[in-house]
Amino acid sequence: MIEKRKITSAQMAIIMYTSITSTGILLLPSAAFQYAKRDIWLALIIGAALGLFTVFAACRLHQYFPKKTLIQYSEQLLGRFAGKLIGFIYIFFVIYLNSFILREYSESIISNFLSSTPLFIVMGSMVFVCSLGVRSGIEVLGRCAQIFMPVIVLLFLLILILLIPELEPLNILPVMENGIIPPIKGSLVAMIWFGEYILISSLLPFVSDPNKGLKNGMTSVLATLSAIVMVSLVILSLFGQLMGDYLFPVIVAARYISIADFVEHVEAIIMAIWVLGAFMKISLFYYVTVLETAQWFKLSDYRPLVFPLGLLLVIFCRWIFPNLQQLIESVGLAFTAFSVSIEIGLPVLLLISAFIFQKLRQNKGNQRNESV
Amino acid sequence: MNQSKVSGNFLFNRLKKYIVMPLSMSLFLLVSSGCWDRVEINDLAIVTGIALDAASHNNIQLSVQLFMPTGAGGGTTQGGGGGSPGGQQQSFVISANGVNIADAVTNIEEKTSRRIFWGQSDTIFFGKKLAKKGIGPSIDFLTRYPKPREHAYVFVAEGKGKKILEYKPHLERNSSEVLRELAKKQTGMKVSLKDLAQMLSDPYESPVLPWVKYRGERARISGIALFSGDKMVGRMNKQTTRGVQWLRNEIRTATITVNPKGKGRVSMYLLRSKSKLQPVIKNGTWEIIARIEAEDDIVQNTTNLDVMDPKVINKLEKDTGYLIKKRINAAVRQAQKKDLDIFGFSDAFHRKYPSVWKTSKDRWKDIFPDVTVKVNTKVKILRPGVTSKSTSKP
Amino acid sequence: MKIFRRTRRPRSTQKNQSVTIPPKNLKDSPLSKDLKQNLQILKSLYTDCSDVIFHDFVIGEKETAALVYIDGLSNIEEIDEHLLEPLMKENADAGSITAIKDQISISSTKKINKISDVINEISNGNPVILVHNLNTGLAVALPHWEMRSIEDPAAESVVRGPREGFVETIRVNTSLIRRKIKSPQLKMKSMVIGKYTQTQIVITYIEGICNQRLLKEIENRLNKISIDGILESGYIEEMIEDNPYSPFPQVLSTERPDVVSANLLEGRAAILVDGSPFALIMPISFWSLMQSSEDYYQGFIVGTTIRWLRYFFLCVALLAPSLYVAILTYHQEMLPTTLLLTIAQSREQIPFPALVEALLMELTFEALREAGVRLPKQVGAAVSIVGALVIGQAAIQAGLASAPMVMVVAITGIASFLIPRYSMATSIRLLRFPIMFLSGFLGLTGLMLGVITLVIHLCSLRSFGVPYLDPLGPTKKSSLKDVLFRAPMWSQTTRPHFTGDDWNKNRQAPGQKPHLGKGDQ
Repeated sequence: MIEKRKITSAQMAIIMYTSITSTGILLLPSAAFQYAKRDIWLALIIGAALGLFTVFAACRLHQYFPKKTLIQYSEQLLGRFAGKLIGFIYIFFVIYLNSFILREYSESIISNFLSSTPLFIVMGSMVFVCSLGVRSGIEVLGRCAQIFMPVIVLLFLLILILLIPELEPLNILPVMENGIIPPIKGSLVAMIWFGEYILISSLLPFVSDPNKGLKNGMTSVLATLSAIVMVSLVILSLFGQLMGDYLFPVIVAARYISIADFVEHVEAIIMAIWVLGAFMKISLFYYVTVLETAQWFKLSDYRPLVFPLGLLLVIFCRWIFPNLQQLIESVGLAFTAFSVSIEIGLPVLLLISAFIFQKLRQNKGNQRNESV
Repeated sequence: MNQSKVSGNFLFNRLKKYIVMPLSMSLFLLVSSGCWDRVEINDLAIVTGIALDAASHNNIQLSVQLFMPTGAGGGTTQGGGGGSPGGQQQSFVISANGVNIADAVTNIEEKTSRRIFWGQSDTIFFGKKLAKKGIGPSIDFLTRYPKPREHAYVFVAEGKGKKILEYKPHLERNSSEVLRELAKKQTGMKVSLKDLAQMLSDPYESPVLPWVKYRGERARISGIALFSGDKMVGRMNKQTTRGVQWLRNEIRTATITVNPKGKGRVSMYLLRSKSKLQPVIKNGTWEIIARIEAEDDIVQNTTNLDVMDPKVINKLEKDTGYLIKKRINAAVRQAQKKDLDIFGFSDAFHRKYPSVWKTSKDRWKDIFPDVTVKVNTKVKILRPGVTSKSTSKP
Repeated sequence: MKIFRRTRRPRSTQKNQSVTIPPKNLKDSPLSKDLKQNLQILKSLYTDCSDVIFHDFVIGEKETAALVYIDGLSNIEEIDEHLLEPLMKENADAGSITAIKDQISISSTKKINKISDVINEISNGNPVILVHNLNTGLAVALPHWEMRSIEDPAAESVVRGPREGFVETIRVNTSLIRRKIKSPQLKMKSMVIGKYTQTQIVITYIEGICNQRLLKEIENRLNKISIDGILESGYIEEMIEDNPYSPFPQVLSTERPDVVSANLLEGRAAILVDGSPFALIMPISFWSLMQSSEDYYQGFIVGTTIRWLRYFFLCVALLAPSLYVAILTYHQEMLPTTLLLTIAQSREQIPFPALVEALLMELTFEALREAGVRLPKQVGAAVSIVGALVIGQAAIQAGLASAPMVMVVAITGIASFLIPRYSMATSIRLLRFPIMFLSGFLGLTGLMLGVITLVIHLCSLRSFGVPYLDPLGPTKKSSLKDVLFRAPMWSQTTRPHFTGDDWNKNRQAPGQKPHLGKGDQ
């Protein structure tokens, strides 16, 4: 086994929750608002359905092929060439998504806090720290997530509580002003985030209690959903229509807090959440990239790949998005289409072929060997 | 021994990894931290207030109120000395002209030895002339440029905004602090940069900004400036503004004085108030029902009425309600005459009747002057103060 | 008596072989019947050792004998009274060792028949009698040397709790533990480490509570040590740590017998080292370094509150100067206006950047602290006066530091004294410098990255196979009650669980919460 240590399924759920929630609360509200407007919460709920499906698919596939990651069983299912191709697309997708996250992180830090620090330094320092985490293995990432999750949740609740005096809940109304279409469009954006749950297919083989994986995975999706919905509603009732005008509405909202002349400008708290969350998310994607690449090449250890792939990540990130506008633009168009189609297509394809594979195996009895 | 040599090398390698690397890295950091975003407080000119005025040749005059750390004698050398510097100057104002605000900022930067720091500017004043020309471009800069606070309060000054920045208050460190505290008390209107941006982004709502008067070395908030789009088109006086505030549910502190039966006066201090707009569209007539609830304490009674008598209280409550209604009606009349929806009626209709709104929102300018406003007030007088009887009357 | 139980380690003898070649044969040679020859060998080994006494005498006026001991390690009065006196009587019998043993009035004796055993015994203060015509010697337990009395441990004082601390003598230390835990299941395994010092080391644990695999691991690690000498338990600590490159202590050193006993009862093991008043406890977690024994001696509400106070000030000790630097040089808008203006006023005259100012003051503080620890007590007072000047009003008046910075340094200093374990406090103090650099470099982002790196390190750290942040990461609900809170005594029904094996789970009977009046009825 390429990874010797194990995590519990609760740790897996917490890793996914921290990483998806923290980027979700920062970016998803304004991105989904572009389409869904005031029905953003509806869009999120629809989007979360994909998360539930993905978790289900990943767990089901894991039942068919225990101890195997997506790369390994796709090769077994679809044959060498197609399997490798699927594996390549998957790895590419994960790197692409990760470079997107890294860029989002760097841009938000630069545009809000460190406006004249070179992009390379901000990205490089983060990737370096992540690479330390990735080198230490999934077990350490799981523990880090367990340490960071309460911090993130508490700080996050603190922000929401501090914002209560500023809220105007009427801003949420009216519901479904323009019918169901805008929320559905918005839900496509939300699906980028919820579809990221496909990554658990790479973690499940290292889970010590996989039978609880489905339950904990589902809980994780729902917890993520509730956190993001809560934030969206708070931002919406604070800013109303203005919400779409801000790139990072949560940071602006935190800056808006002013209590007793002393608790002011608490965007530092948001930044703390954001850096912690970005660390978890980039590390998770980074880890999956490194692990799956090692499996794709059939290496015995993934550690030597950590630093080279980190460098690749930084370069990739600069190369894909020349500036912030392109980054935002891509959330709307190609990026959504690309990621959502992979996030939906991959599990569906694998699930169907696994089903057929299973049937074939039943028909042929035990003639067929496990390893094709 | 051979073994020890090997372990020595090994140790050296580990040392390199664990000590030399971090050490050289931190040295690098120390050296390089001189660049990028690091800026010492000593190199900052802290802006406490901003004023924007119209200048000749279509230019904009930007004035900033800067904090003077040396002039304040903050008590660093004399232990415990800090505090009242007497007539010593604590802040000063610099201004510069430019074709737009960004240009003016550059010009100001050229005049000051320190880097201008916007992050603490709590107040923004627009001169009357500029307000009439349009504040949109300036607001665009202020919200796009990440430094000024979204929580900064925005005002329109009678005359030049710079004048208000320049005057020296007695109680506070500088004049912008005075206005900030005044706005917070909410005796007048309070509009933050975020609120203003929100109002400007809504094409159906007309923005309002508090109007600052400067007379005899005192600045005060006195009524509001009315905007159509981003241009100031008129004002409303203090009394009428109260009506707007009642409708917008923005009243926090108020003393309401009624005059029952013409003999003496009873003043009440407002404890809590709440207002709700309920839009109704019936047979093509658009109507707003405003429900206003207020709770008061009596603070002064110069009549010979017995304020312990429930009947009297009942009467007083009715009078107060009537007074509030009068104020609101005056405000509505003025706004409708100018066709400026400063109450957020459009939003209320939008929420309640989204489909009707969609078809008729383009006609809002025509609809608004004819919207009937019904005011339902519900005033409760909770306590008659600490004394029950009027002490001034025998 | 356990003095005589010796475990010779095969490896250490191999080492001896390589360095001291001639004595090897002599040392391992058995005692001969010829007294002279035995004495000759011993004397050749102990040339130029003025403290080794060879006393010749005659038993019962018949047989020549010799008493060998080291001056200052044995009780001379007792030797005279209970050993020499009966043996030098006229009718004393020198026929066999057993006969000699029966004649002397000493409770603990041991027969020995090797030169090396003679050396061991006299080194431990047990005089040896060698008799002519017998190839067996007799060691008698009469050790006696000057030692410190049992005092209140200086580094871990408590308001409430036992006031005894370990001393430099291992037997006293084991007895202090034995007096607290009287069950025969308290085991004390002994071994000797140190080629020259031959230091006695005792592994103590409670059988049935302590995990056997843990014991094996400890013994393995101790057996691997091959070193000239052990002068303090710190030598051992450094040789058996899981990650030698971590700034964090991975075993707990304590002077308090009650701390050792409490940990033994929780299933940990302790190592006592002769010559050191510090016992080593393992395995430990980050949290055991944040706990003081007094937490358990006062009410659980107070205990819990004080624990949280400590956790908060741990963060302060680690991050306060960095936070100050980061906010002052990168995020000035985050301060409330009034505070910023006040700080701006006080910093106006300071010539240094905030980072340099902070480094300067923190370094000065560390220097003062170190000087205060090392200096004799009389000079210590002078240091505190100078210290108050250097990082106090004088520094502010000289315009070298701003008043807020002095406040930050002072708070950081106090915060670091709140950490109950000195070793932990030192590592936290050390770690705040790199984080300070990071925040001077990237502001709060740098600070967060520093914290994340620290957490990654802590998450990957283990103490004898037990995760360092256990039970928080990995989360174990059952053990959290003693980390996030100090659970009341009546609810601490289970022992902490360290590794995957089965463990002796139940500590006490459940349902012991006191109910008022129930007992009276």
